[in-house]
Amino acid sequence: MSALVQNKAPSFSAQAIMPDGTEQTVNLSDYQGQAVVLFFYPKDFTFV
Amino acid sequence: MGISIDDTESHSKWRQTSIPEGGIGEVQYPLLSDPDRAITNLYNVLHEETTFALRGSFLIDKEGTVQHQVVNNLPLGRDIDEMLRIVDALQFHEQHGEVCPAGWSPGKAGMTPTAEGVAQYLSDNADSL
Repeated sequence: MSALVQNKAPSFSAQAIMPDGTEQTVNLSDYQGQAVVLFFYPKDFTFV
Repeated sequence: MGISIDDTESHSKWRQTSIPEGGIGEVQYPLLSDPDRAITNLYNVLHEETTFALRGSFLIDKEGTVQHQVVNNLPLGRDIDEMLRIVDALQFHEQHGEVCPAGWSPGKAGMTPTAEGVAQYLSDNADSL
């Protein structure tokens, strides 16, 4: 398993619950020009 | 943004549950859903036994390049202060061009990444290292 550091972040598109509670499709490319923290976690209702 | 293999219905319920009741509350960032593990696999953070995602965190810069990653096994919670420090370090580097030496935190000196720069940094900061 190699590190992704220094590579382009793999692009993705996913259904998401937004800060206002609505459901939308989020593309990583929507955030071009901004830094993004992406954090994976195992399961809702666990700690992160 | 956060991401797990849960569906958006579960995310929505988790958001609508307050922290004292075991939820995450109305967080001000998107919660993404990856039920088919496609993104989990792209980022190489699949926990083989459970097929959940490991606790992997990635900082992606303005150009879309991964600048930082840390991946914890399931029992090990992460340190959000460390991620914020790394975000500050990246912004410092982007603004000043200097690099952030070991133990750097906001307000501390950066370093020029040359032999002379390292020597200068060490002589200036010897007392605090």
